[in-house]
Amino acid sequence: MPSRKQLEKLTAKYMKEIRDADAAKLSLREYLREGLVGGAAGLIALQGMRNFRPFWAHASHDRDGLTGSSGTANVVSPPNTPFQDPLPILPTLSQKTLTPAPTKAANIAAGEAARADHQKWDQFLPQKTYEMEEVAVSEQFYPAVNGVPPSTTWRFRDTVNGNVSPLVRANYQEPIVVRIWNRLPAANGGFGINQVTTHLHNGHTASESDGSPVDFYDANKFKDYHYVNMRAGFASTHAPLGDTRETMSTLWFHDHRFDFTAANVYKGLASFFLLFSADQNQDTGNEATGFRLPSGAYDIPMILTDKVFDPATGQLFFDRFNLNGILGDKYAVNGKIQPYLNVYKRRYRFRILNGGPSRFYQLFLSNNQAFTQISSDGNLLPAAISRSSGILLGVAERVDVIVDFTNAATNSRIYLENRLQQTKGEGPDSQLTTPTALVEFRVLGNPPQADQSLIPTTLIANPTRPASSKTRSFDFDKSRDGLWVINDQIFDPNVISFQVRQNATETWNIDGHSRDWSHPVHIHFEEFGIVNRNGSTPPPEERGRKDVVSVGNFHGDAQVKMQFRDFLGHYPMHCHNTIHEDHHMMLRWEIIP
Amino acid sequence: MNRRAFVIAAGAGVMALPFIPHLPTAPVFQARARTPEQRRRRAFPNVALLTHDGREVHFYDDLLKDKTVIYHFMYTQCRDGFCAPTVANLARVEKALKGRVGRDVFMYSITLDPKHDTPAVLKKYRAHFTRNPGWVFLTSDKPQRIERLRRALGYWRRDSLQDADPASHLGHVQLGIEPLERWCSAPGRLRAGAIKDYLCWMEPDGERPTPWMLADRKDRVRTS
Ligand SMILES: [Cu+2]
Repeated sequence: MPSRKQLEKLTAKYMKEIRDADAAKLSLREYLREGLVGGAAGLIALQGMRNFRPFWAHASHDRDGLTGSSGTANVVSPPNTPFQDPLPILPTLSQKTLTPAPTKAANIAAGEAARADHQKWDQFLPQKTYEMEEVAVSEQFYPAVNGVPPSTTWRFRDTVNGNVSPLVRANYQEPIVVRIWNRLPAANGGFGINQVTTHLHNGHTASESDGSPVDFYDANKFKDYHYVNMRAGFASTHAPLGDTRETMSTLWFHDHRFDFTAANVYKGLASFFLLFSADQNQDTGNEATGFRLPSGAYDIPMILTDKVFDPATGQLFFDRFNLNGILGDKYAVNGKIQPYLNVYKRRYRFRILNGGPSRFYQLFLSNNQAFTQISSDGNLLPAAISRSSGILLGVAERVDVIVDFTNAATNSRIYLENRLQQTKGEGPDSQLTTPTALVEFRVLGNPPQADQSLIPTTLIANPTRPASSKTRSFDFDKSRDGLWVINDQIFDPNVISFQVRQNATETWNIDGHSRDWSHPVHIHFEEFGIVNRNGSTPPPEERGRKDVVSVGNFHGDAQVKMQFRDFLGHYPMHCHNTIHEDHHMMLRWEIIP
Repeated sequence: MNRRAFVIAAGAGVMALPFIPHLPTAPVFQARARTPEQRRRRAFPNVALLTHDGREVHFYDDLLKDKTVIYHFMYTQCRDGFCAPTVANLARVEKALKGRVGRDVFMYSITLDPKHDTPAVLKKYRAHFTRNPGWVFLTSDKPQRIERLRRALGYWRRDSLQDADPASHLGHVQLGIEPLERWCSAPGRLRAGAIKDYLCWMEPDGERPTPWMLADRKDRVRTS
């Protein structure tokens, strides 16, 4: 029997070997194959190792019993009657004069969370300010007729009027500050944590306002998020206005507290951020000007989320033990299960967001009418694409589509459907299945005013990116010890994995490795171009600007190219299946001068 | 044809089918109320286990209820998996928690191999790593109890071959503040200091990370 001292030595040896393997970038598989675990073998020898197989190796498992919502929990939600409630239209966040006024340095005395000073504050003083608080609310996902009680969710709330889940409407060249108070309770109803950091997804945002996973703050504190609303290149390649080909349209914001992102977002901490570009006469928010996209009441954001409700209590349920991915059996859009929307015979812009946590969609219209796709990940495409065979939407991906109801029959019903089969949380199956209706469109008749919108032929050209100065490769895989890893590394909240030079252009190979799962990979900061998909030109829908690229499964691998302009600081890259993200498929990188 | 194209082609087939909307047939739901205490208890199987000292304990009532805990699965004869390194790493976590283990934090190492890992075997194994009474090694004379616990706590794999492979068992540790229903997981092979951070950062009045941009970042960048 070794002494305590000898054991400490052995222990130190294992850990050194693990660190060495990390440093040498040996995969764990290689590490074990190379027989480097002399320390462990040594210890086991001390235990009197015999040749054995553990008892569970012989146990037979009912694999079918493991499918369903989550595997471990196998929960089936109470039934719902579809198309009873109207689709909730998300309210617009109101302007508010902030007291105390926002400051460049964190106002710790007033309750602001610690952060670095706002970058480029003096050049971009906020012209408009807003305030939201994150609170627990009672929310009815089911129609009243089903008798399922409301669930307690966590939502953003407008502090001016108490509107729940407001969306932000912002304009280019109009810097803003959004103050977000954490007013969440310690009691979580079973899942989630009242520590928050709000990420503006696809924002060209300074690091201290990006909502980094580690920069979370506690209840009864706030943070001022400074959004300059300038196009990439504004302080570098295309000063002073930025590259007009970098104009973005449909962004969203959500909680990003590491290890709890899946739970907190599932609980409701997500909404839209719409960025308008009237300054360049692009996406103006007015269908008489610019690209003349359907606007106002005819521009409707929809966040798709699949949920599970406890069959006994009817409360929103989250399986904390799941590592694979969580599939809901109820499809909520803007917080209602299978709602309806009254539409006129005219064109609509639908901004569709896959709000996760794990499900992929292949969206169709029930009458097999084509969608006119105008954006990828909320970035307007060079030209509209007609999509008649469905739109695949991974977690966190957004698509802006125009649906033309002009020729629909009065009183007809058309459904927005998902036809993608998905039987496991890791990712979708490679086949379609019986449609599930997500939203029922009820065609009323002619609109009160004539439709002034157009289906534009050309929108925003793709930016040209300089030759890249560096290529990096990232393999999104599962480690032998069952964790989701990038290059065999697990997320360490105290570590930056690599640094990039400000204003550099780089090429990143995003590899899916196995085909048993899908990873919708999201890179913060600047959207990228997919330059190569499985060795060839990407399909038309992937040729625009993107901030999520799915790899693995039938998606394969991707090569993306991007720049790191205008700001400094740290940003993550992660799988946006938030269960994978929380089970350590994330790393952080840093932009340095 | 690549598989992506396959999805789209399959779509053309499905499109020919008529759409049948769901008909409202749902009965009115009768909700059962559940107190937070009931919900907390239901989240874990309250199986009877044996400690390395041969004491019988119940998993929820005796080990989790009202406590801050770290638990994971291991087995003493793990040859090419991560058990020994993980247990060794947890010994460092115990140190990093500076006297809290046994006072207000409890650690549990649950064997996956109860047939071999009797209390006596666990006791001997444990002695290599700790003398702290707050770190308990657990087994059972009824293997199906361990199996029930393993499945309920999510330490299984979908692939049954992998699930049965002793070297492929899941290597994460779960960290929780049971009365607050706050649970997260950390990889067992993460730096011990970071595992400690995962736990302490969850605590209402625990330590907090310094915002990265303000932190001393020396030694924390892995170059590549
Ligand atoms: Cu993933």
